[in-house]
Amino acid sequence: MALLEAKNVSVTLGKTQVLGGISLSVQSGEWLTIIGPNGSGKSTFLNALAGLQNYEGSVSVSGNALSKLTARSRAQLVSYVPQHPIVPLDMLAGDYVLLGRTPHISALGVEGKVDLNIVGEILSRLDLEELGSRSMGSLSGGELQRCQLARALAQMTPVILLDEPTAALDLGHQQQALDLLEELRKERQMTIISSMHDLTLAGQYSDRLMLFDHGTVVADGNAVDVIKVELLSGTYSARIRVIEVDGAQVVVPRSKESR
Amino acid sequence: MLLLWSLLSNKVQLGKSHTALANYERLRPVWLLVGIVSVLAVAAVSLSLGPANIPVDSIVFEIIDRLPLLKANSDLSEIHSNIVWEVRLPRVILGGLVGATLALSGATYQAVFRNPLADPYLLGAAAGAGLGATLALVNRWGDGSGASDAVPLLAFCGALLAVAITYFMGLSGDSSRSPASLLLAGVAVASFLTAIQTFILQQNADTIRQVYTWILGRLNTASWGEVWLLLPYAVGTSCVILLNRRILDVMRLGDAEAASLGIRPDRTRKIMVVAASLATAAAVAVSGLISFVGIIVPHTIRLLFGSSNRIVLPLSMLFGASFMIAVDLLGRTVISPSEIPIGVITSFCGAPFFIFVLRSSRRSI
Repeated sequence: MALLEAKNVSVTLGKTQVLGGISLSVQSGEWLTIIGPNGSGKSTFLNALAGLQNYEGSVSVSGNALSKLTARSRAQLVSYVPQHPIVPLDMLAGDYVLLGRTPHISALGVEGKVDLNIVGEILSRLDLEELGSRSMGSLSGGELQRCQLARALAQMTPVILLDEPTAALDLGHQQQALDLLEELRKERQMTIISSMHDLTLAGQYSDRLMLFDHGTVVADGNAVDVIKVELLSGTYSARIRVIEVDGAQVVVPRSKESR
Repeated sequence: MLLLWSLLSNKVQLGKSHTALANYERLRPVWLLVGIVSVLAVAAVSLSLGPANIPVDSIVFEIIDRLPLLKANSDLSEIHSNIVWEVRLPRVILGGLVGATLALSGATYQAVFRNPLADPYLLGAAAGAGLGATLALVNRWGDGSGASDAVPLLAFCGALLAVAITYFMGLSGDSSRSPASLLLAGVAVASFLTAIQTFILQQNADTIRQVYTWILGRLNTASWGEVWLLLPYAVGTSCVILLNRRILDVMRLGDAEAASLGIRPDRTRKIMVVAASLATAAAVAVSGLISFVGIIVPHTIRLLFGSSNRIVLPLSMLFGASFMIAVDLLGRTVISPSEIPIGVITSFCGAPFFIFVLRSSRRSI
């Protein structure tokens, strides 16, 4: 049985239909990346899965309909790193990561030994131990991004949603972050649903790509099926060429003059 | 007391169970102790100093003697005993409660609105209380003395009514609006109520002095009646707020991320605003509009000790109390026998001190 099942998810903001009936099922341990141009509904779809956006249709994780769960139970199943997280500059990085344990701590209680141990492990796993005592405002873009990932990992959810996880990073840090996610996914049998703008990286790391356009699914499959000139050049309105390098589909922009 | 114990015990347990404590900002027992000692110290000095100087040890014995089941010989004359028990002690306790309440309410508003400029009067509590008190004074329903007077009653109702109007105007049934619309509604409601109050005052120029005295804030009419009036609100609301101290840290991530961590930000904000507003209304009703405490005390704590609400909330209460008792002591002794209004001293002493802390601290707000 699929771990996450979405049926006919639609979102209408004002009079505009942003998502028009998306259905998908994701297996446990699968990495699905949603691609598509700006405004194609990627973030809205992730927000709906995270329960931050009202939608029609249904989303269930392990057979539990998310709309019927309390906020707390939902947060035990799905964790989420938004594209532009709000960073409390004077909060210590350690405290920030520890907030990820919130869905597992009773409403008016404080964290216990188990929570501290879990966070301690995650901090060392992500090489953040040194940064734990620094304030969030003093961290670099890459460090900040690792802290955000660490907080979502501390939630220990079967599904993790990542909206543009590498947007703020340079090439080397992009690879580091994605390598780390790949390792953790295998270790924990974690299901990752992400959105990404870098099509080449998206194809390299995820098992499955889904191309969104105007709130609908245009293509669904592995990198070879989805990263095709005829599919992408239309949806993105871009001049591109796709070449295969070492078995990976590489998207290369073409200059205006070249034919 | 139970809450105090839980604040402390959770900290001690944390210290033992995890070695990497440096990764987390937590209330240290020694800070809590310093806060408690500072309250007791300024209270002792304040009880002792005045037109009649009374030795501290006699005061301690006197208080012990008055407590049920305890006996001690204070060797105080009856007059001194009455000064301590009927005049100074209620004033010190009331000052402490008002300071603690305003500082805690300010810290709470700052937390739920993620706005460092938030203070207890943000949603119109001051303007509403001012209008209520003005109405009572102008119509001579009361003269502003005594706990059962019409002035505190109307001030209390006015403050709560103003916050309620702000809340319903700002949200108007739409929970998806941002908290900023609530703040702007607060500004509008406050200025509307102040306009009415000013108009009424202009029509009744003979009471301007009385109203002005009330607005500047005062503790000089403090009696046990006012202490009993404020105490239940202060204790009840501070328990509610302190129990939510960790949730208020989650709220620092913004509504969307707090919701993704399983918190319901709108509900939390509503509960916190109701609690802080009740506490503020009760404090304002008995002491007038004492400004500045709700902003500078929490920020001073943030600059000196750390930004987690687990530190800011309890320490704001303690240092808010000792700050207010100290300020009141200055107000009634510096140009004795006359008094400087407490609102003047809070700003006169508080502002330079706050600028000093702001400039010398390595932390930022």
